Amino acid sequence: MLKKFFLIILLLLLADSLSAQNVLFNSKNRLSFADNLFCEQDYLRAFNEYREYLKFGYNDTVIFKISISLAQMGRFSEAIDYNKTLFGSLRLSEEAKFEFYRNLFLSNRINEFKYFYETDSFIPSEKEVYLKRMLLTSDLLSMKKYNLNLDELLKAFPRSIADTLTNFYKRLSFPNQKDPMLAGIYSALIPGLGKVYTEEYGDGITAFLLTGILTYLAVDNFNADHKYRGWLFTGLAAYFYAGNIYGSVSSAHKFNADLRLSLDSDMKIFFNKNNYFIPKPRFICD
Amino acid sequence: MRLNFKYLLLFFIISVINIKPQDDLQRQVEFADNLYHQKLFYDAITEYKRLLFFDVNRTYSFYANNKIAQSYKGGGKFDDAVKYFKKAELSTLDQSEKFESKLEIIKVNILRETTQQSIDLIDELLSEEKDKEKVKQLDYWKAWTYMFANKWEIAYQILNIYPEFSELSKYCKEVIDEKYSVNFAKLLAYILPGAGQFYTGEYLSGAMSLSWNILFGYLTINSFVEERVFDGFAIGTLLWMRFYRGNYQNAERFAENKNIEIANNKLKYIQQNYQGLKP
Repeated sequence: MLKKFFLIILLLLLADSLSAQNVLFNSKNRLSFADNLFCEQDYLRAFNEYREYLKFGYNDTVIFKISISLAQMGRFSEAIDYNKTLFGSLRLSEEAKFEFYRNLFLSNRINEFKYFYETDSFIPSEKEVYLKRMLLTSDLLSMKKYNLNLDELLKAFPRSIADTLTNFYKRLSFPNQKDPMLAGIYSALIPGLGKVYTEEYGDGITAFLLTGILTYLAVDNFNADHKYRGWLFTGLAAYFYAGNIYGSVSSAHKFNADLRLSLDSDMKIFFNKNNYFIPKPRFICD
Repeated sequence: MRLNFKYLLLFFIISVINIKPQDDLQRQVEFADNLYHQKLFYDAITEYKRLLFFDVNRTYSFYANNKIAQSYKGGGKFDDAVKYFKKAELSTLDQSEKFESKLEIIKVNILRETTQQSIDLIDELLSEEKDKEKVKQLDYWKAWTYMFANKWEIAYQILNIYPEFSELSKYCKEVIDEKYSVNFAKLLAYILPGAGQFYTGEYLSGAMSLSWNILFGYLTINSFVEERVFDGFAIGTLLWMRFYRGNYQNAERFAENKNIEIANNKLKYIQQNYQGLKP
């Protein structure tokens, strides 16, 4: 009896010492800890833990979560590679394909997106609308106004944002741009007028006054027979006159660039804030 | 006898099962601590987080959160450090641990130079604290906050109250004494162009400034003397005034930059050589 007792104790101690290193690191615990990190949005650590977990065996959900973690960290290329491995998965094929498109869209690989979208005959109908949104958003953000159609745009997105989309579309299609040539001509006719045209009123008035004063000084000095000073002020007046024309043309270019930048920034903020009107990836914790 | 053995065996098995999780956590603490001591902060944070996750009884809650915060601090991620020091503070009922967490938050605020947050937290604690030792500690960190904020005079006033902090207050005094007076530099430059730069040790710049002002001052006055009013006006406003204004602006900028340099050098010296507590 005593023998048996010691044998059992010995076996218990042996089992205990064997498992001693691994209890918190066994597959089940690794997975639950990784899921916790994933929910805490500590994606880098979650990614590492999931990879360690995969050493115990294949799990498509874990691979899917790895791709989500990578995408959340902005590592889209790696995420796409993981998405591809799930195309044959029984449970997650559709989800993986959708994430694949999302990652192509978010990493701005639009040509690849279009190529797969046009050749892929297995796009589920409920996801079709989101893919269409991604394509239209990409056209909007890349400011390809010739690709866009307002009706198509309004049909693809929720009605609640129709006004905002119309506003973006109008700003893109009919921008209130300034013609650099016209700005130059205005400034040639009346110094500073080109700047006023490009809405830089302060600069316009300054240019007008400065060129005017220098011209007056030149004329006045010639009249008083101060030839040297007359030519000096003529040179300065000509310099400021030419500078004012050049400045007006530049100002028109800058105005147009600012217009585009402001539209670009408004659209990016709007779509980003609303998650591009695409549902969040599956498994993401709220 | 046979029955007793059975009970003994059962008791032993239950004991092993009960002790084991605690033992695992203890091993995890040692593992995480080991990583922390090796300054492998990323891995240490992972392991402390694992400890927190499996510590269902929250035995190590304060310890692990505190260590995660320290690791983030060590890695220069101050915002995350503050977040975990707050978690540590919330996870304990022990008042001294709470106080310790708050001090750590103050120290991180000093390091990330969020002066106002640090001062607000210190003042809040000072208003509640009656323990002289803790008040002294809070004053000490307040002085550090002001040192990092380049307000050495206030830091000196605080430290000067306590004889224990004489070394640190001596450093503050040195900075105050070494610093240039910005207003004096400007005043000198107003009176004699270039003198402000000479005062801050920028001799070449001072000499250049003086020369330009003499030259254009002479040309301006000479134009007026020769009744070339327009020339005098043009040279005076476009050149002389430009160099005169540049002279006192330069003197002011030199004094400010030198002061920043003096303060930064002293702060660097203190952080490397001072033996007392540092943020």
